[in-house]
Amino acid sequence: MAIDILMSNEKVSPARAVAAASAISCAKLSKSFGGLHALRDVTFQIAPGEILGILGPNGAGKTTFINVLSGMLHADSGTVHIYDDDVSAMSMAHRARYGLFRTFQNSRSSEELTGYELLRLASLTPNKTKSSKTYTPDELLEIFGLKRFAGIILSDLPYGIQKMMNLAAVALCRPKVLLLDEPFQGVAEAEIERLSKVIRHFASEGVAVGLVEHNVRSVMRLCNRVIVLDAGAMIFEGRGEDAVRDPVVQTAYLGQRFAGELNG
Amino acid sequence: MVERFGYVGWVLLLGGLVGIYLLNDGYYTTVALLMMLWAILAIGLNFILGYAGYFHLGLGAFYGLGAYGAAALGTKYQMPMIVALIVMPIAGAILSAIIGPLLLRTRDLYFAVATLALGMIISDVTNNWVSVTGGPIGIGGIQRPGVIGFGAFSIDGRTLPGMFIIVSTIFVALMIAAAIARKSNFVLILRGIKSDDLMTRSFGFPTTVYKVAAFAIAGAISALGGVLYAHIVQYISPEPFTFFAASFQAFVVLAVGGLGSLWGPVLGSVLLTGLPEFLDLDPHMKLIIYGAVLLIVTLVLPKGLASAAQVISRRRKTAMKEGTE
Repeated sequence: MAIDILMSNEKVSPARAVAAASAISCAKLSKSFGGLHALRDVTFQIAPGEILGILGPNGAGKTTFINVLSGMLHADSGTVHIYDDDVSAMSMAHRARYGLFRTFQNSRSSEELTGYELLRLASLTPNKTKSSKTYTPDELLEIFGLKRFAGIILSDLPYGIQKMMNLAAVALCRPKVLLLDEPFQGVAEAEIERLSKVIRHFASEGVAVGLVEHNVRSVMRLCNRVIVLDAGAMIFEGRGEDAVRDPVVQTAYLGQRFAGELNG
Repeated sequence: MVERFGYVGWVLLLGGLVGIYLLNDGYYTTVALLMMLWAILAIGLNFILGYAGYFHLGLGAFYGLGAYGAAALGTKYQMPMIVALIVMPIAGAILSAIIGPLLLRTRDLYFAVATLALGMIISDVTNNWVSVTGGPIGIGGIQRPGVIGFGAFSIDGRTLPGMFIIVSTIFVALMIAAAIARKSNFVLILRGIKSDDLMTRSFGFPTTVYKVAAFAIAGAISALGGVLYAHIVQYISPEPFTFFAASFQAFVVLAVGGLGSLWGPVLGSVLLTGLPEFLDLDPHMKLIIYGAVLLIVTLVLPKGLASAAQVISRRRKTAMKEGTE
């Protein structure tokens, strides 16, 4: 409910979402581990305010993709731009200075920090980019409805709350581009709705969101556009509804035979 | 609860120091000096181990560096103590900043072993580089500072009470600095690293830089401890800077007192250095009690003595809750 309050204060500008410049773009991104090609020549972009779903069967290279985009892993070849800045050679910490942030698949639960301390840590980010809004940890706890959990050690919190805390922490970093690695994994249905609202709120502020997710239904509801990866290559780009009907995508998910039965 | 204990802590600390000074007993003063030395090492270790979570087992190297540096400055170059107090912590920090980036590429047990090796190298050097360190015989005749100040406010650094005032002043200043640091953004980032290095990097912090800084602070504070040791004892040899005599002992003091807490180093040092001396136990009994304390604290209070207040208040809360339900 607290999120709704915030949404009503928000002046969403639709023009922003269709701005010509892409917030993040990558060209011919490749990465291999030994003989395994985890990413092959992936080229794509996310516009400011857009929520892009990144789908694919297990082992398709989705997490590698996010790791390479965020700078946690270095690409073998290809470039990554954040707006006009080439960040290809930069480390993850350095890319954050340009407004690129990410969350991790496993909730980074900690026995060391309380929720409030995590948010305070995030608010110290050396992110140089200007954002229209800057929140304090207290404001964000209010917005996310997490106030009563603030003083508790993170690892003592329920999994869904931990994920909300992590998202709140990233929100404090004032991202321009936000990459989310399976934000709904292990989260209860009611909390998925809440998380979705928060993600939409990011986008309404002009943040470009990239979302890796197994939960196809949530992706369909949230994302303007999806890309599908298989064996490290991009096999589809377009609307979510079309992706489900695409024969190549069906084959990648179900295998040749089952996909044939589905269509036949 | 913790805040309240903090207030009590400062009163007890200052009261204790004043009390020992007024008691003016050579033995108790010496024991108090030793306790402060161990607490200083533990305060240094707290930065890299307590906050950043890196098992630094080579603290003795920097402790030794400070002590030998102070001895050399004092006996070879006739420099006053104040020079060593300024120069050696800087040297400790610079040495840390040079080797830190190499050592901090490793973590967990690997880091522990790497720092352990560092301590062993320094032990070897102090034993064998006879022309500089005096080898196993060591260096004697380290001069304490003379009279400082004027008239009624003067301190005679040559005497034990004078030395006690000097060390106490430095110690209290260090405790205040540690208390301020503990609330700082820098320490929050270190704790973020301990909690999750990757996540902290994803927030934009170059974590290696912060870890090296914590390592350098530990090195500088240990070197400061070494300088004080050299001037208290006035004679140094390789033995007090070996692994078991220094690095391991500092680790135990901090672990028993409480990793990452402000008062842990003091509590650990009082319990492990002070009490066995004051109780005047026979050496064998001392070792047994020492072991027992270590075991009990690890089992009952895994976060150290400083967490006792928290643990008790939590127990009471749960007891109350169970009572009402």
